[in-house]
Formats: sequence, structure tokens, C-alpha cells
Amino acid sequence: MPPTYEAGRDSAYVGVSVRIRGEIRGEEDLYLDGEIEGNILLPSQRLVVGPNARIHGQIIAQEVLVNGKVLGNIQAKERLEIFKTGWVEGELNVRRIAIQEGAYFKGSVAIVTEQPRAGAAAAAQSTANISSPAPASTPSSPVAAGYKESSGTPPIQSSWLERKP
Amino acid sequence: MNLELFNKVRSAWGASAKDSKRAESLVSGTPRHSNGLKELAQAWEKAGEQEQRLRIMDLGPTSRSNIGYITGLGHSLFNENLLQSIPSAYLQATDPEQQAGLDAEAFLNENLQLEPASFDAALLWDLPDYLPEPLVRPLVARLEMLLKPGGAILTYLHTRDAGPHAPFLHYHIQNRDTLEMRVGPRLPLKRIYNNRHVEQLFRNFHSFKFFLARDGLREVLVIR
Repeated sequence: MPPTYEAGRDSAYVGVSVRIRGEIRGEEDLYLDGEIEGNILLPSQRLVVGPNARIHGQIIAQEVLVNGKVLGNIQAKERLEIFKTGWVEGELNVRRIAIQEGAYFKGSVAIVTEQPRAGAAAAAQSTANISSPAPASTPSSPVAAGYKESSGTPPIQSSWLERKP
Repeated sequence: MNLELFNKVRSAWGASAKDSKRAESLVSGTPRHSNGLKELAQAWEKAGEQEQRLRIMDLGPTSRSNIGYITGLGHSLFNENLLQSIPSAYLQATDPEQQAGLDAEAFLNENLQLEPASFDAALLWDLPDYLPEPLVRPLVARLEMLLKPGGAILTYLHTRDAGPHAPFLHYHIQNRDTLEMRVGPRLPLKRIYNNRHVEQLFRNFHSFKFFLARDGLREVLVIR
């Protein structure tokens, strides 16, 4: 069940009618139901993207729960959940992910096993892609060393399914 | 079971007992064995065990089970619901002239502009059967560019047995050799490929493997 804002819970609230252009940083949980054009940095906290929210920017948080619309990359140190009303387009770097049936997602998902880089440096680096989230830049296939091409093809990275001679 | 949906699928196919049985199984999402998936998934699992991180592309609708299965093996997934990005008029058109206006180059640059030779596999599902004609060959050429040598495409193509109104399907990976298939949006089947067509379409690729099933789908594993 998608989380709703609970008054009295130790969490900041940005309402439906609020529009923000700029960066949000914080050390407390945030429930955001308005519009923001800018990054959200809550490295140790939870962000709930409400059903009316429109976020155009990068998100770095401990936990991200999406019911609204996010256009931008998301880095969730612990968990990302996209609920059925959620709409996400971007590059996801998460430890755990859950997507409800009916949710929209376009982009790439990578599971990180160690703590991802957090904080201002990472955010500053990713800010360049705000207007158009770029696809993930992928490391070379780790199986490349095992690739044997008899025709002397240039040393392009190969995949795990070796081609037959 | 969703009776209304079942009746819709059955009537689209005709009312023969065989078609009814298949429609029923699709609507209820009965698991289906897939040899093509099995072959791919074994390689994915092996790579995962060796901590090799692969990059896999899913061109079907967002599927939580596909995302869960692939990322659960430690690989990364790129998801692009390609059909959703195509204007409906082109998807519904059966006359080639009505499809001719689609600018394939612009479409692919907008939706599949990715780093060349960066993917280990592409899950194409039954997309080639429903794509507007101008997109078919350019998409295959784009995939050839995006896949690494040795990378694979897995596609499920309808055979004549499926009938002219075979529904577009959503494919959900349940485990290494099992898919759950559910009926997707109502779209006209644009073409039926035979083996020769498939070889022509992927003629720049290195090899093919065909798996013929009893449910009117031919699984094809294409290696770049």
C-alpha cells in the first residue's frame, strides 16, 4: 500500500501547491507532493514522492518510495519502491528495488552491493544530466578476456555467449 | 479469471476448442516453458555466480518479475517499452502505406540512443510481429549496433498456427526456464515470419537457434 503523509510523524512535508526550483538537502525524512526542478539530497533519510509530485532532477536518499512522477536518476542506498501510480524515467542505482504492476519505468536499473557514493560530490556530478537523463554508462563485459575471434576483429568487448567459429 | 477478457481473446481467435484453451491459458497467465530463455538464463546465472555484471535490455512493457529476476542475478537492466512510444495510428494500421510516414531513424534516435556495443542481451519478445514496417529492419540494425559481439537477442515470433489475430503478449520471467504470458493491448499482427524471413532479417548476425513450440510461437535466439 502506498505510504501517505502522517501528520506528527518526524518528516518534512511539501504540499501539492508548492513549486520549487533549486536543490533540497536535508537530514530528515521528506514527503513531497509538489513540483521540484532540482536535485533532492537526503543521503540518510527517506523520500516519499506523493501521487501529485513531479520531480525533474536527481534523487539521492536512503529509501525512495515513488507514487508520482520522477524524471531523473535515483540513487537509493537501501530501497526503491515504485507503486502502481508511479512513473519513473532515468537511471536507477539501488540496493533493493520493488515495482508494482502497473507502474511505469523507462531506463536502466543497476543493483549496487556496497554503499554508493553519496553527498554533494555525487550530486554535483549528476546534475549535468538533469534535463535529459542519460542511459547508464556500462563497464566493459567482464568476460571480454575470454572472447576469441578467429577473424582478427578489432578488440571490441565481447559478450558471454562465445561465437562459434 | 477475467471472463470478459477471456471472451475477447477467444472471439479474436475464433471459437475452436484449441484456440479457446490457449486463450484461457493466456488470460490466466499460465506458466509456459521456454527453451530459449533457459539457454540465456543459464548463461546469466553462470555469469552472476562469477560476479560478471551483464547489461540486458528489455524492450517489452515494464515487468516487475523481469526486473526482479535479472537484477537478482546481479545484472543491470535497461527497460524501454518500445511499442508504447510508437504512435497508435502506426500500430493499428495494417496497410503498409499508412505506416510509411513513420521516421524510423528519428524514432530510434529518440528511444534507443545508447552506447554502441554495450549490451549482452536484448529481450525482444514478440515485438517484431507488431512493429510498423518501416521500423523492423532499422530496429534490428540498431540492436546489432548496441549488442556486443556474442550478445544475444531472444524473440518469440508467431507461427501461422497462431492465427491472424494472435494477441500481443506481455512476457514475465518466472524463473530460468519459465515465462508467464499475459494478453497485452489489442494490436493487429503485422506479419508472420518463417525461418527464411528470420534469417534474412538477422542476416548480419552470426548464428540462430530456433525452438518450435506447440502454442503457435517460435522462439528464436540470435547471436551477434
